Amino acid sequence: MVDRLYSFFISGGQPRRGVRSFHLLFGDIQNLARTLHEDELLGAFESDLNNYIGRSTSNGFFVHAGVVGWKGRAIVIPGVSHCGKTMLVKEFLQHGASYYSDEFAVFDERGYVSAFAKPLGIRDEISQRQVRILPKEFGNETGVEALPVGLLLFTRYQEFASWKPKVMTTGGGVLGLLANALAAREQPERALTILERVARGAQILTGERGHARDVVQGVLDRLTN
Amino acid sequence: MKRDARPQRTNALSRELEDELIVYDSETHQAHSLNHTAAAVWKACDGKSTVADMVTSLEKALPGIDRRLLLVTLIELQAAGLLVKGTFSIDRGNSSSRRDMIRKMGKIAAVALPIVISIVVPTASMALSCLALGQVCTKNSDCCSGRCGILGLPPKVCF
Repeated sequence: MVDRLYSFFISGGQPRRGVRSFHLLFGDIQNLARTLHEDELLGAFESDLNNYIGRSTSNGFFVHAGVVGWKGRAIVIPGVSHCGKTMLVKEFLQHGASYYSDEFAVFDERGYVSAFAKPLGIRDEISQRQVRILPKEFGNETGVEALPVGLLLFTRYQEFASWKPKVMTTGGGVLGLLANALAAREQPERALTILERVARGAQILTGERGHARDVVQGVLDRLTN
Repeated sequence: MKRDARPQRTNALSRELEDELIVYDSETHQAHSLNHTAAAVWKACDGKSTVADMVTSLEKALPGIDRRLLLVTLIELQAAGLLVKGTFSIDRGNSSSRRDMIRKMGKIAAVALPIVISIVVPTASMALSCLALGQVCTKNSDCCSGRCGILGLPPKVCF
């Protein structure tokens, strides 16, 4: 049985003047990508496949988030793209945290988080294209063990903002996780059970942030004390 | 409000937290976080009790609750879509606004006000971080690159 069928159409042959030959990617019958560059086609394939797995697997519950490990607990940074979670993950790594993910927090039924450790996708400031960087380039290991969540960090980059976090309630934490979950609509009961377990044991902070360094130092001090 | 109104809570999933209640409505795909006051009132909305009955039955869970606080809470729950339509509605023309009611309740209200926070749970595609380069898009914010446009013929793609 095939769950999802991907079709690649790689343009070939001699280039003709005035004609651009696109590579195409389809997921089932949906056109997912149309590009002149093969690496972009593969990037689109990886992205769609990750999301398909994230919403259809029963082996983990996927939430969009950056995740690092710190002293036996996980720091989870839920958020959509452009909220700056990868920069925070990178900063945590530079402070010695272990790497779990910059895209998905994968929770098990206990509410522990496992690694989804693909290379960090850091955007070039000028071209806005993502550059892939391995965590070991920061001198860090990738986490192996599933960890309980010690901190949920809901934050968004805002120019000139200073980090003045507020403590959120457990319920607020659950709502924040639901807002970034891939399969909450399809599995609401399971989502509530797992995300409640995640939030119950965690500190939950929220606030706008400026530079990632200020947040990370403040958060690590808070977790250490 | 009709004198014989019997507010009824919607049929939704719920989870008790320490001092809160999480409610998930599978029809609207809205999730709500209710504080202690809102949770107690929502649970008391059985579709059989009138507002007067509820004031009496909630005295133990919410000491000091009165009709005004209950009405404010019901208005909040109604606005969040947590009451079955037609089982409670307040005629705003004949009643005080929420703010007026809260002001009149003074200090008692300050410690017992209902709080209902609601979100719409996204679909899987809405929850996607962003679209990768070359993926079909409709607007700039769809794309990780922040650029969605036409390369040659439609459709638009991230570039």
